Amino acid sequence: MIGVLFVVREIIYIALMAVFQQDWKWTLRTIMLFPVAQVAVWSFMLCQERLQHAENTRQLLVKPSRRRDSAMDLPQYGNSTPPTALTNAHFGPGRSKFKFLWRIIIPRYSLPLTLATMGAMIATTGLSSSYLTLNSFRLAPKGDLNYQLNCT
Amino acid sequence: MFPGIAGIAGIAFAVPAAISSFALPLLASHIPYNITILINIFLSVLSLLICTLGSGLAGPLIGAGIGGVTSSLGQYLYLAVAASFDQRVVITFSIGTSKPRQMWE
Repeated sequence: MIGVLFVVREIIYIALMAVFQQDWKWTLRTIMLFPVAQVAVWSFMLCQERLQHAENTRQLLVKPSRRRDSAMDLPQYGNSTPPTALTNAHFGPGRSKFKFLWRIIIPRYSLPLTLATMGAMIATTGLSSSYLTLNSFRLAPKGDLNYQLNCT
Repeated sequence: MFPGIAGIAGIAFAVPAAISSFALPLLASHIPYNITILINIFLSVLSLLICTLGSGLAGPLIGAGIGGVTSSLGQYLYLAVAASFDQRVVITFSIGTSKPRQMWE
């Protein structure tokens, strides 16, 4: 469903720009009403029992010292269970999130993924992608750029 | 709107977003989700408001930076909450993002 967003957001933006005669400031002021709609979505449309389950899980994880059996006592909802990573040995009383970040997340996941991605890009395209980006900056529009489509 | 430096707005958005992506999950986990969503909405409105203030570049660039932080906070919030939803909900939500179904199974 999130793929629809990539189409709808451009349509809304172009339509508002047309309504306000290409006045981007009034367009943004109108778009300011959209985030307020999140209150209605969060409060009425989302399943409140699931949100309460998420909140209970968060409270257990941020206060491990008060609940020594926090990893074994996570709230259950229906037949679905929380992610098994929560019962991993890296979570629990006396564990630090910063240690988990620097010792587990970065060296085991972030760094290898970054190196593999950069290596693959250099192996397949060399440095041309970097020069392409640099060239696109140098060839940026010099005139009045009313708006641009972001399709990334 | 941004004569000659359209890419600067992208940098002003991406750098705060990248930094806050690392820092926010560690700090925001101490804040209840209901308050986090209100902070997220406030920052969303604030970023758009600052973008429209003034006639120079400072407003749009600062607004883009706040928008980057807002984006990271929103991603943290919905990813954290999604863990409590059924996996079919997450699969349905992610349709169109080119994420294979096997990632969620």
